[in-house]
Amino acid sequence: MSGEQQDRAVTDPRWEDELRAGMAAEGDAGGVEPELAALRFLLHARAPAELGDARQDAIWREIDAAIAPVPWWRRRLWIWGAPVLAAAAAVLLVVALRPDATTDSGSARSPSVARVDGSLAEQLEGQFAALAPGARATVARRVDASRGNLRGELLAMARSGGTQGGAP
Amino acid sequence: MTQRWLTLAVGLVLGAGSMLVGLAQAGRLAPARPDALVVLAQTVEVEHRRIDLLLERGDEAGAIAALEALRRQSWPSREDGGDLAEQLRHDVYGRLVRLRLDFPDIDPVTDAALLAILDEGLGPEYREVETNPFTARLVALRGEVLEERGRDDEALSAYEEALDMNRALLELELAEGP
Repeated sequence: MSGEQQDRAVTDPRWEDELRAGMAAEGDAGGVEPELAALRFLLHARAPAELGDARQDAIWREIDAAIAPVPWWRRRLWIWGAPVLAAAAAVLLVVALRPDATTDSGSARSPSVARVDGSLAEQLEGQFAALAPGARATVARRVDASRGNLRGELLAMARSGGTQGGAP
Repeated sequence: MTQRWLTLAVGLVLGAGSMLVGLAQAGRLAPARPDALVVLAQTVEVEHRRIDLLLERGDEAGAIAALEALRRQSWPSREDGGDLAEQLRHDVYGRLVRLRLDFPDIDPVTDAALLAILDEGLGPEYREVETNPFTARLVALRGEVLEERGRDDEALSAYEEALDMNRALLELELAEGP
């Protein structure tokens, strides 16, 4: 190592030229990027480079865009939920326009079936209000059928002289 | 050659028959213990009427307490009570959660506790239950609670599931006619 090299500070920008020249002399074999990165870091530590106003504004714009809250109309729930909401409104309209559509006696909410301008949850609650009376009637009818079957089984058992559950 | 075609035809007829029988029974699990179903249906019907009266008197706290008591009772399994027992349970839990959402200041519970109640009410086999409005409502209520907790993706899935159920019910009603 020469005396000049010993005297030169490690932050001297000529190091980069010499490193690149050395790499070129060896036929561009290997790489000097790690060494150059360390040199640039030391240079920056000694004399921090300042960003231009335009570049600084561009960086701040990128940061603003990245951290800005997503507007409500761009949230995923709305992007996917809006078509579902429209479909729900269509279904609700068809159900509500049926001549025998009645209200839900089993709901604490006011029984307004034709709520088409609310949230998806309200739409679904409206659908339930329209469908529930018929479903309750169906359940009652089928429970009655089960009751009838049960009675028939018990009568058949009694006629045949059988017992149930070990009773005499 | 003729025998092969005959065998194929018989196989097709048997397969179609099995499919029709399967479709007719799809989602309709008959109760193994009809007595349990009958008792449950009577209990639930009486309680619904009592809760209607309480709500008419403006006693929401009493209605919630009555539904909580009903919730804590012993519910028959799906095997014992069939799909109808599942529907009755979904109806009761749906009404309870609806009231809790509409009157959050009465005997307040956390959203996490509400979700636990919903999962308890739905049970592990709710997707296998015959499609009905009570299950659909309970699934929709689950979506509502999830939405309030900010779990939008899960909320949307629940809403879509409930909507699919209602759409199937509507198609069924339209197919059956007036």
